[in-house]
Amino acid sequence: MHETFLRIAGITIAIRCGDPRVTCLREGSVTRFIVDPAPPDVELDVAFLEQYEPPRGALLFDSGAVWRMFAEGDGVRIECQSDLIGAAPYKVATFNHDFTRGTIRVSLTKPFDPLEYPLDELLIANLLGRGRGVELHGCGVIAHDGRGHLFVGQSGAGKTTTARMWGDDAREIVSDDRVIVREEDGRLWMHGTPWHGEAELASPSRAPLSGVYLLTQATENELRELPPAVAVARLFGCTFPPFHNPEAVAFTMSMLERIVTRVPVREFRFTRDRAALKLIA
Amino acid sequence: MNEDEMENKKEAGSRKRYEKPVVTRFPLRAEEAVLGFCKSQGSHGQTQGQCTVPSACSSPGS
Repeated sequence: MHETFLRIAGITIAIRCGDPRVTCLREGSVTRFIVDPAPPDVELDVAFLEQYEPPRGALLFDSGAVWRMFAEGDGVRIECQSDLIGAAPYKVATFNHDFTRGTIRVSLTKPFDPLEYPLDELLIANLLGRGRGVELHGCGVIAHDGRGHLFVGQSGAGKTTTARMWGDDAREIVSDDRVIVREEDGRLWMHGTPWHGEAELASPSRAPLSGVYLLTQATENELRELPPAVAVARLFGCTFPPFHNPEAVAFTMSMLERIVTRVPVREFRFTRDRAALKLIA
Repeated sequence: MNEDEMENKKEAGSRKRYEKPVVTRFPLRAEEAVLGFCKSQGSHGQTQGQCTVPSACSSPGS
């Protein structure tokens, strides 16, 4: 039995690989999130997928690409599919109703990370949506004074560019692509994730969130104030809520409202030049 | 004009002028928001669409 403990944004996940037919692999940025054994929030077992059996429950959500979710008992079943492997899913994961227990069955015989994308982010998205926090498409920067600056934007907005612009001016970049915000001890905290962008920056560090900047590439550097409703709407376009779960979507909106109420959320219009960072106080 | 009519007129004068609600659309890229794509390690820029190999997905669509 091989057991690994991961901690992402304070959520501890125990992954047990007890099936000799499956070789669980951990490599890349996720290894920075491995922790010593600790009481887990989520317990996962990994097993070999002997024979694929179609789901019996209703289809809850179809991503239109690499995964689909079905009802199963009082929980859900997530199927991951890749055309290169075949028409049948190569990975079938079942979770209980609150995603605290699950089983991942994989049909691959080569060494493989059972929690590999998209399952890792789907699990975290569903856990966060149950009152824990929100994952944002963003670049998280911890300044030398310890404050957390979060730069948010969709693909191509300039997250990795922003990370590179900070260079030595940052104590640490916790991710150049995915950042989680949680409320802990009455404060908003910005957490790094294993999921990075082109600069491959990923760290388990966290920092108090001091400001959020919506990235807009422009011809001049400028910080623009935003009406709160606009800020929430623009942030929502950079989140990954479990859309099949209306309560989770509502919680995500309320979490964004909390962020907008508690810290400045502004539009960061920038020229891809380090001079733009002078605007970040 | 009686007292009630005068009161109504006064209220109407101080009432905020009606403004028709305006719908503002904000972009939400469905394929990103639902974690529906990834980009291969080492690739640059957006490579949206089906993941080619599961193990190439450690760098999700960003």
